[in-house]
Amino acid sequence: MISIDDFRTEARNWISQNLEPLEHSNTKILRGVDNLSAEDLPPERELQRKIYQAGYAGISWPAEYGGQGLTKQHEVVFVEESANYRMPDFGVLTGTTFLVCGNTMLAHASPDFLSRHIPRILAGDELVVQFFSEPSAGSDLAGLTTRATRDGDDWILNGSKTWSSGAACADWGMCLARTNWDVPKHRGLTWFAVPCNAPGLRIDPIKEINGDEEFCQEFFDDVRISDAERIGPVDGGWNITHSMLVFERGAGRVVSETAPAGPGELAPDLVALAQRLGRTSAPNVRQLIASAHIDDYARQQLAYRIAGQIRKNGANTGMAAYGKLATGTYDPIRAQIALEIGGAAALTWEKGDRDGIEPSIDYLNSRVMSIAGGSNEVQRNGISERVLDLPREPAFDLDKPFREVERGGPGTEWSGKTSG
Amino acid sequence: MEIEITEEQELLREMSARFIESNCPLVAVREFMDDKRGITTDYLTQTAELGWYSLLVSEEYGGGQVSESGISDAAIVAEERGRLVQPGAFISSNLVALAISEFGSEDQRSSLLPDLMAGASIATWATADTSGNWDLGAGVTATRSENGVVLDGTKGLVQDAHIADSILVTANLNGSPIHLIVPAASSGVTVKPLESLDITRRFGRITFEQAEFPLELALGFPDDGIRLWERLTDVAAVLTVAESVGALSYLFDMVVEYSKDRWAFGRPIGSFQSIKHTLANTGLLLEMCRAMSAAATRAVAGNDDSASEVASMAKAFVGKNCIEASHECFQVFGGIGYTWEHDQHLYFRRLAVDAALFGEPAWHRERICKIHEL
Ligand SMILES: Cc1cc2nc3c(=O)[nH]c(=O)nc-3n(C[C@H](O)[C@H](O)[C@H](O)COP(=O)(O)OP(=O)(O)OC[C@H]3O[C@@H](n4cnc5c(N)ncnc54)[C@H](O)[C@@H]3O)c2cc1C
Repeated sequence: MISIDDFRTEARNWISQNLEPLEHSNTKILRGVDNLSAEDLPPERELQRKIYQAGYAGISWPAEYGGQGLTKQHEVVFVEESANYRMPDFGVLTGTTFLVCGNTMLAHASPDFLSRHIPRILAGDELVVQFFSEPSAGSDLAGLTTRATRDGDDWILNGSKTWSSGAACADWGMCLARTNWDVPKHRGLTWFAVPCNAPGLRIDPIKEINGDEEFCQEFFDDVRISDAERIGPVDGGWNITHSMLVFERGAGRVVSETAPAGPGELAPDLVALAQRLGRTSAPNVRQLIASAHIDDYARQQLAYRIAGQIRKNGANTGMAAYGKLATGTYDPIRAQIALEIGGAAALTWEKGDRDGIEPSIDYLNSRVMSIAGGSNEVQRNGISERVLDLPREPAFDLDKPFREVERGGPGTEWSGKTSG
Repeated sequence: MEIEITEEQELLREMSARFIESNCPLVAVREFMDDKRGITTDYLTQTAELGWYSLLVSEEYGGGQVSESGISDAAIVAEERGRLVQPGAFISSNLVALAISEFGSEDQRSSLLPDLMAGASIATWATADTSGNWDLGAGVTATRSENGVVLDGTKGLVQDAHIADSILVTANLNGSPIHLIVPAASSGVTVKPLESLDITRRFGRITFEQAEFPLELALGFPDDGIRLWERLTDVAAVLTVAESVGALSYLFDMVVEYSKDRWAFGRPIGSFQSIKHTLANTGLLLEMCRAMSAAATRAVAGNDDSASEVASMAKAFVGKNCIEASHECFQVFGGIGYTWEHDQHLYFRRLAVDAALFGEPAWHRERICKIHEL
């Protein structure tokens, strides 16, 4: 295997000759302003293909599926070397495709499935969206009701998925469906890969509070897919969901092992805002700026601590949940600070003024991470039971066939009974 | 990795923890509370044998580290001390030792350090004024006299002032700092012991009235006054943060166990979601405080360019959040937490005082803005 140092030299050479340097490495992408649409994708896919062909895609993924079979450390090196260059931007689909779905498939899908999908994923030909949440199942993902029914070598899917970020631009969806209603809820679920253009599948964009249409609702009407597109065992989907959630909370992310550099500039966005308004000497503004700067750094240090613990003790949903909870807790605080510093200037702006709109857009988006991908409450449940080892709460749905679980709906009254 | 702990450091941790557990567990801490001095000679000499007061003194002057950095060694001891809210001015006296080692004269080194390191004498840093202002030289002015300087004014929040043999006083000399190490028993110096929110430690007020001292008692004078002050402020932040993290870790373990053992409504209170979420939030604060403590220790021990900033960031973050966390813990204990008998209040008290010592969160935030020239 190529040494880390040689790999660095080679990567550096290739990058400098083939990739475009970034003009402003920290240009912020504003969700809801810089929307990614299907028309933006072809050049991104082309760039991904170029990186793939040069042997820099899937650096730590197995070579038999188009990866490079190198170590995580090699991957870190490439991330470090390419930091100031333009890399493919698939918006939210970058994370869902490579971090969450790709890693989960590699851990659980059959060799045949992997040789069909992974090389195409790495080449930028298959972007994968998460078909997990449903109109009636979000936090309680295992309570979902989209059904997959066996039909010879195929499965027929019926039901609906929702909040699927980037579905309108994606090629495939990784979909969890119920395959058995006569067992407790966690034991009757199965994962499938579904092509987004499958007959019977309709994808409708949903308008978000920021005006964007990034997430979508899907309707499955007798969607037929081959059993070859199943990921993992029939009815064995929940274990896979566990490892998927660990990836979603960042376990597969490539993080540098060296301690983060110093704290860097003092909250640049907030200082710029205060400077525009001539408020940099107001004591409360100074306190707010420093607080945000400190919290930002504390989150970074926490991530570093968690990465260290995961390296030492193995991936652990509990520790990763601390990181997710920190994001869900501090994003809203950060956004509120910008509104407070900005005053009227953060609430009103002239059309087209990007600086003006930023605090408002950040404010609107600030609760995304406290809800999406497992809410703050769900993280706290996980931390308390898996890290602190606190006793479980009484459950109402665990010990009976899913068919018999109370599921609410108009006119239903809750029995309040934990069993039977 | 997190923060590299060497084998020798692990040994220092174990030996310190073992000493504390067997010689000064919480019952003994409570006995010290009623003691006139608040600490015994035995405690001081025995912990000196563990090396507690030599860590920030260069080997050249008889000090001793167990790793490359005495500051990270001292942070380990501070954390262990925090776990069982130990008495005594460990941080303050180590700061004085550091000041002498790095900025003192040969005479100061040879006359003061041996006894300090042996636990045979006690030194403390008088820096804040009586209102708790931590600005450089607050509360005491120095004026040049024929034979040296004359100090006037009062310092507050001085730890172990009542038993200190020497006092490092930071005064304001026409707008620049001057630091002097003076014998507590000097004419014009009055020590007033005070009662405190933190009953596990002692604080006092020191008044200087026309107290005249020769310039030989000054350190880092005239050029290094600010550098010395920044250095002491940084190290004070690192050690106080480590101590708070130790205290919060212990308190948190205590409350998590309690929530499993205490039953109500037919179930352990730790099964109520509201309690679970409170504890998960507190756990997050603790993890972040640990991460910040490690960052500050690394930055200051490694003499990073950003050492002062990271030290202040940690002090502000840990100060604010340990108070919040200690309130959450108190809440989970319910009524028992409001009793003298129960140990939680020792921590509730300690963490509130630690947050203010050597600069409250707002003070450190302002320091950060100044570092960035905002
Ligand atoms: C911007 C955005 C992007 C998203 N992208 C995707 C995607 O790409 N793919 C996908 O599948 N999904 C996606 N989601 C969906 C997301 O995962 C869910 O919204 C989330 O899991 C919460 O589910 P819910 O909306 O049904 O809320 P609910 O589960 O109905 O929760 C409502 C409230 O009840 C609380 N609650 C629920 N259960 C408990 C409990 N046991 N204890 C305490 N409190 C509880 C929740 O914390 C929340 O506060 C996205 C969501 C957002 C906002």
